[in-house]
Amino acid sequence: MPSLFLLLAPLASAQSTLLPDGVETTHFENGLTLHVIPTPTPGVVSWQTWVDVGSKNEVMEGTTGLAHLFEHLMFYGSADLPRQAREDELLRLGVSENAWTWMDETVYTAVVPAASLERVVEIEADRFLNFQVSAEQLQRESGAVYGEYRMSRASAWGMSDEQLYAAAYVHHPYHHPTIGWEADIQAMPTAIEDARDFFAMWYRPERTRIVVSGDVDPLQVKAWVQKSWNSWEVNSETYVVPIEPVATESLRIQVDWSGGPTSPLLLAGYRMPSFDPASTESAAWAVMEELLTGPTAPLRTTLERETGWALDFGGGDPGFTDPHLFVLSVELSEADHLTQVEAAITSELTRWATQPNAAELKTAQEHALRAMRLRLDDPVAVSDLVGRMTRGGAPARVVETFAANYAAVDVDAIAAVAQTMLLASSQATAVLLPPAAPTPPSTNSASTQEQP
Amino acid sequence: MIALLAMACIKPTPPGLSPAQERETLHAQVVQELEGSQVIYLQATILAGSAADPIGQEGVAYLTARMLREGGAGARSSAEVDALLSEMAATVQVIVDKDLVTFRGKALASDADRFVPLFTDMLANPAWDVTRFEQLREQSIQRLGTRLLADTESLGDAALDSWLNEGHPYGHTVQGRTGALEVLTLEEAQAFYAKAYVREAVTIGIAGDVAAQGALIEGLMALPVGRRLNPTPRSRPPVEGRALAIIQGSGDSVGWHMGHPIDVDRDHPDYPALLLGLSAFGEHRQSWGTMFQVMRTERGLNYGDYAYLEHYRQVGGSDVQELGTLRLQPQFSMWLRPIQPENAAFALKLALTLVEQLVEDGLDSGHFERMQQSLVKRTQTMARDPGRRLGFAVDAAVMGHPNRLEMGPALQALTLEQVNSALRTHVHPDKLKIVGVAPEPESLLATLFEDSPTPIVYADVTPSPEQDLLDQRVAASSAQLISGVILPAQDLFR
Repeated sequence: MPSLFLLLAPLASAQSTLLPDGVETTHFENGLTLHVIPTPTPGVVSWQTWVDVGSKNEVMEGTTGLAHLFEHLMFYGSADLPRQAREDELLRLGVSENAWTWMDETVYTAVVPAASLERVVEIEADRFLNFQVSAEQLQRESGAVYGEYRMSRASAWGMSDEQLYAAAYVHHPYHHPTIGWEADIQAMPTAIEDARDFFAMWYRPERTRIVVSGDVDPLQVKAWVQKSWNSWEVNSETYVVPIEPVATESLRIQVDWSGGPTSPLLLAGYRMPSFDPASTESAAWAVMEELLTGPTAPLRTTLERETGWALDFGGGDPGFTDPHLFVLSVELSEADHLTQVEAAITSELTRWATQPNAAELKTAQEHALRAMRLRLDDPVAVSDLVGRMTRGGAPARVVETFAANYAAVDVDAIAAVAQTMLLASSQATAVLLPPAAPTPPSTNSASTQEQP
Repeated sequence: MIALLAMACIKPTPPGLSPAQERETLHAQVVQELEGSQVIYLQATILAGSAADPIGQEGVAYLTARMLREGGAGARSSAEVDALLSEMAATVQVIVDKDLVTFRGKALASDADRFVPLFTDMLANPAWDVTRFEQLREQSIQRLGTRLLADTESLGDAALDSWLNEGHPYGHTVQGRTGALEVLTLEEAQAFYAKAYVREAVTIGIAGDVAAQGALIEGLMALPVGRRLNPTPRSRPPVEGRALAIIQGSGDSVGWHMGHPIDVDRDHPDYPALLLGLSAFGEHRQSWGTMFQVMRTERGLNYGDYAYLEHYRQVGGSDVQELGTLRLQPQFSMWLRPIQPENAAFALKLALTLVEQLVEDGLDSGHFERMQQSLVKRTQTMARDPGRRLGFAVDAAVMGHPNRLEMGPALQALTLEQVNSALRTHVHPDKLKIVGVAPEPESLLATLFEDSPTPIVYADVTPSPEQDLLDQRVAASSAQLISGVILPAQDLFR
């Protein structure tokens, strides 16, 4: 008899699956998708509602940041269960919830005691089907969004990434950051009509996937979802996201940074195709990420251990659903090492483009797949993975297709990726070179004031 | 089912309450066998955190822990350790805090024969790669001298943490001081290791497939017998009145961090009551807190406002508390995330008003009852995986406290009066150290010391009459500060 807290699936064999038996994917008539993954985690359920609307969908002038604003507004609930009542009930149910927004999606997450799940299904349906927000509530929430915007300005990494994408994508909405441009955020308090239009357009069942992992009976969850979400209506409108013309030359920007002290930063970006979990090409780019940034990748060893040129090194494919950048991020120990670091990256890419090593490749693939399996002992990690992999409408089992493709990537596929990365037209680079540090004031300059 | 086969077969003693003893055994062990598991979860927690840094060597505890993980183990070089871990897809994380250092490992049970000796070699037979030491030392200096100063939120947290514990072993950051790090040597790290990493200081945990339990113990018995460092609580500077320090921040908004020492740890009879009261007032990144509702939901002042009974370290970008970060001497604190400068003084005064109300009026019965149900039910979802479940148990064994995952009955038994009484007894709104991180410290300091009102500036929000009444009262109130100082950020961590 299987015991509790086993891992999801047998691990030892390379042929083993990532997800357990009993995974159910249901496409309801109104277009809503439900993925249920029972995991041996007694009493714990991870609920995630993935809405395929992110900052990429902010195509109307002056509406940047609306997808993220909506992430906030959705916590205001409905007329029947407005914010306070909703929050009070979720509190009693022992639920902790949160949400996040990025380029392609907005995701509402909750960790739920298994005994509370039935009611949570209803509460979650209520806000999606009967969402209601007033102009006054929008005004209040805009302040919190502006606060988040201000926090984001303090991140040298965030600002570098924002400026790199703004330069690399001029037509496609990846041009603007998910948080939005400041002028649009400042205008949010009065943007109630834009917000209502945005919700009506994008928050629709055909753009929504529910992922439930944990201590659940898939058939029971399906019945609950069917009952509560069935009346949600599909939206027949279609839309077109502008296409970015193919780049013909390399791009290089100096990051404009007036914030606090920072190390020099390098973001070496490479234009790559849309992420598709079922495609062999996406799998090859994912393997390339492991070859370049994995825990024992030669490039990492060179930059961090052997030379100390990098204080921190990472990055890879963020998995966006339209063509985007594969970015290697380097925090440099000194600005003087920039040339050496870029040469080391080019050298490693050249090695993979011209002399790909089959044994090294095989080892990296096996390690990465094992590591992925080991991470899936947490139902939240399972929901994250399934949510990310099923954005194109695939069943949850597409995770296995991705793993199989990943394992099958060969030296030719890797060489092709490396050759693409070496093309000048593929490259989009951002460099942040901080100004020289000011001389610290002496401690005598501290002023003191006593309460009268 | 979870089988606690040998929970604490060596009875743990609360580290702060008994004299250090020289024992031939490890301090305690926690075993959580999961029948049929194919994974082995390991943990070793050592009383060797930054509070044990010798004066002048602040940062040595942190660097020592990092060196054990990254400086080679046994006959393996640093790179060979990484290669073996990678080959097994295994992980070993190190968490360093003020009192505790935690090594957390995870691997396939089929690799236990290679993984367990590697794990124990890291702790008992380190290789001390000098190149890695220099890299880690430089990294620490850079983190404290550059990255921390640029991170407004972490800067405020670290500054409050240091100021609250001035003159105490908690008074420097876990990573140390740049001045000390600049002259720290590998020999000093080795000497620290020899003193701190003795059997009596080590609590171990194993979960999942526990067949390697014997090998784990045997490997760690290679540590010397010795007297563990004495972590007996020491007095912290008393906080009299409300004292203010403002630091020049690099952003364009103002963050507030404030608190005072507290003597309520998880073994204190008032812990469940105070946990409930402060969760209701401002649980980390949850919207149900009173502060969050009044400041963010109703007024849109900022992104979030929280209150803590224990110093809070978040796991990555999640809202989950990092394990292995309990302290022998906890502190109460509040955090107001960045606010537009024009509302900074108002926001501080509003938070002070709210915490005064919390202590004077307590929770109402509805809020109490909802929070009680929430906390009781969430005890079962706090550990979503076996490694985290083990972490809670080891934390309890190390500290000699009840396991947080087993506090459901104590929370269920609470009454409203117990909660409100605990808030009155232990939270002191009139005795706070307050740290602000602000773009223009001088003007903010002057504003707070002037008697003129500091009205809230709304962005297109029309307040309700009730809200307006509170706004006017807060705007006209005094922060009642007894002192104020502007601190140059560059000197804080030197």
